[in-house]
Amino acid sequence: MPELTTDRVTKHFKNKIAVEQVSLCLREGVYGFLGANGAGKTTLLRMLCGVLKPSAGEIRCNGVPIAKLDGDYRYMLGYLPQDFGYYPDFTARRYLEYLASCKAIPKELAKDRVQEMLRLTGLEADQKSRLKTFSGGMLRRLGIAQALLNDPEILILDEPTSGLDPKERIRFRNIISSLSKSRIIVLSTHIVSDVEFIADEILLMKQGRIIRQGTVPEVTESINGKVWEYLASQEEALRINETQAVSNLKNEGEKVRLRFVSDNPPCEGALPVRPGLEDVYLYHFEEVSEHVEHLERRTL
Amino acid sequence: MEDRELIRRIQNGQTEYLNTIAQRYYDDIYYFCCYQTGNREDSYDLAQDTFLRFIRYIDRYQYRNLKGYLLTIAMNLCREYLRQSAALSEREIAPDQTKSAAKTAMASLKADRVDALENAIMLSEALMQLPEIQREAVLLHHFYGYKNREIARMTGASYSAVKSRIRQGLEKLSRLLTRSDFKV
Amino acid sequence: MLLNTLSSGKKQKKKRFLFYLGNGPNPFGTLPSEWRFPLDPDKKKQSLAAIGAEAGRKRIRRYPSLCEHIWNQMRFQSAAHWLLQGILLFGAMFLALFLRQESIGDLSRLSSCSVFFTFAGNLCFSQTVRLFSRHMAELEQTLYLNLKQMVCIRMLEAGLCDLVILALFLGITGGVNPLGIGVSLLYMLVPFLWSDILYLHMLTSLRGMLSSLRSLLLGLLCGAAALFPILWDSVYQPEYLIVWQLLAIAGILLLAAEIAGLLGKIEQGDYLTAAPY
Repeated sequence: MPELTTDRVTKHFKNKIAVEQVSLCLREGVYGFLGANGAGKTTLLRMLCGVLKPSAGEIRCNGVPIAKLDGDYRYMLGYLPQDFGYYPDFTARRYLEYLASCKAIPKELAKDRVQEMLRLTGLEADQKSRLKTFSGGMLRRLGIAQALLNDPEILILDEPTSGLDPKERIRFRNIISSLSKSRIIVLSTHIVSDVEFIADEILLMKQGRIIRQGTVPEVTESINGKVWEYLASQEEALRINETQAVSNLKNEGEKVRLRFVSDNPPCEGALPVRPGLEDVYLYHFEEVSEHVEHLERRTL
Repeated sequence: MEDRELIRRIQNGQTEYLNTIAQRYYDDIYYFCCYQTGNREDSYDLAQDTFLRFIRYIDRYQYRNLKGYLLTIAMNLCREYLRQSAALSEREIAPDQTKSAAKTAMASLKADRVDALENAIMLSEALMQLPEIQREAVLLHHFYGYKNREIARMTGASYSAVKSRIRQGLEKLSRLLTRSDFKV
Repeated sequence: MLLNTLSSGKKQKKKRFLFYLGNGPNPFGTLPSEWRFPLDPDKKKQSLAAIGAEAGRKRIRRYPSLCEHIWNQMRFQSAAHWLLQGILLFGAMFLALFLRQESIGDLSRLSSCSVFFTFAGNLCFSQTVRLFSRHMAELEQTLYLNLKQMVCIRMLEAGLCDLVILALFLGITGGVNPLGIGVSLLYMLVPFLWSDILYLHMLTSLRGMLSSLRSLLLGLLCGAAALFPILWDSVYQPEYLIVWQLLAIAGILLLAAEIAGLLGKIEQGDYLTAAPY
């Protein structure tokens, strides 16, 4: 059973700090890293899988620095990069067989694993097509297949659902939940619903730091009392939308249900409601952009 | 299926065949531990640990003589065990569990099994009179059928040392077993 | 005390056992059942269950040999790669045969070999670049056989291919050259080394902009560096030999530094990830 720890891991590029002083301890379970683009998720994940060396701090697996474990660490790793590369002239099957050989999977076993992964990701029918004919969603599924090839004890998936259609997203979630426990699964996303139901722990990342960490109820608890709903008439809704940041609105017959995420009641008669993970995300990440949008609207 | 094929399959990831190996050699390993340590109860654990250790090392194991390899692991575990129990008995003299356990076991056995048990106890007691390294050599040679050269490789001792250990061990064992007043 | 209750047949049994002990290694390889303790089946079952549980948890760790890695890498090379290698080898053979003609001067023989050798070297080298294409590098760096090792294997392969061609040429030119094999080797190696350095340097600094075709063309361009000595016949004069030697030594050092730098960059990782975050 692997245990992955990061000890004050920091990464800066020439003029920008991408990840700052992140200390984590990951044990078996699914960890969902949530954050806007540029929050440092990808950099952190790249360090976790040993592609990038931290500028400061150390990453250890079972107490041993991963740089020292080297091949032994990579042996138990499955990784899906954000920009997922492929050889365009390979067929899906050949591509997976190639990666299986690089992952030191014995040849006979590799055959079964490749077949199994193709089936799991629904690419069985396309296994003989060249990768250059693949759609974005198919490539993404192929990427998930290759990450799972060696039945990794540490699985790191960077934006695994980008480019997937809603049906494929559900399939992906099912694949992740069907994986046997006793492994660390780390996935990053900026889409809340990807991790809401499958992650054992949510990590909110902003400007290179982990700002919130815990199970879904723990994380949502942190903004209890800051989510509001108000049932307004059509005209009223329009007027409120002019002055307030509305996070969500839903038509209910003649009326409109407005949802707000803010520290203070947004308007008279607004009632506090139970926050969801989506609200937490909005509270931390959309605040600024919503506000800007709102200002723009006003100046128009 | 032959051992070589079993090992090949296991090393290719079909770990379920580890069970086949355990079933095949459990008894042999158990009896080795039993006669080497003289403790029938703890030998179940020692045999189990032998296989657990084997599982841990299987990745790099290069097939040669599987049973010999397992016996080598068992031998090392028995050495550790004896060293520990020696250190323990210096502090307190433990009652001879083997004997009392044997007595209770005997009461519940059928007559023909009683005979085997008596023999086994007698042999075990006599063996325990031998120094540890002589006992190892005698067990491997006379019970498990290994040649002197193989035992030398397994124990890490020289050929001539093994030869003399077996000879001396056997002499002492004969003496003990033929002595009419040898008592358990 | 126990023995007091034993039957009179005991002594006989003892004898039988001793007889058996005296007969060298046990031919059955196991203890005869009449000398065994009864084994508690429940405890055995418990033990086996614990072993079975451990077996179920066990993940087999494999350690493929270097040969296996090289073979695996070669297995997945494209047909175009093998075609290129084949063409190079045949080209070298035909050139070698052609140059055996008496009418061709020593110097032109030497320089044409040198140029061909350099081009061939760069073409082989361009195959390594494939590894950096299309963001594959980041993924490959996380595989058991990682990018660094792959690059080494590819370079080894390219080096072997070069060596075959070099041996072929030396066989021809060295034999008839009054200067001997050592000097021929020097004349061929120096342009090759320097063009390789130039090529490698351009590849690593221009990465990302290069498709495999473009890198191939760049290789040909760098190979043209090998044409320089031909422009001045006098460089092959014996008094310039010391210059060639110095260039060779400098070239070897620089190439080594260049390769070490490349591997270091891969290790550091920043180089592999196109966008920093």
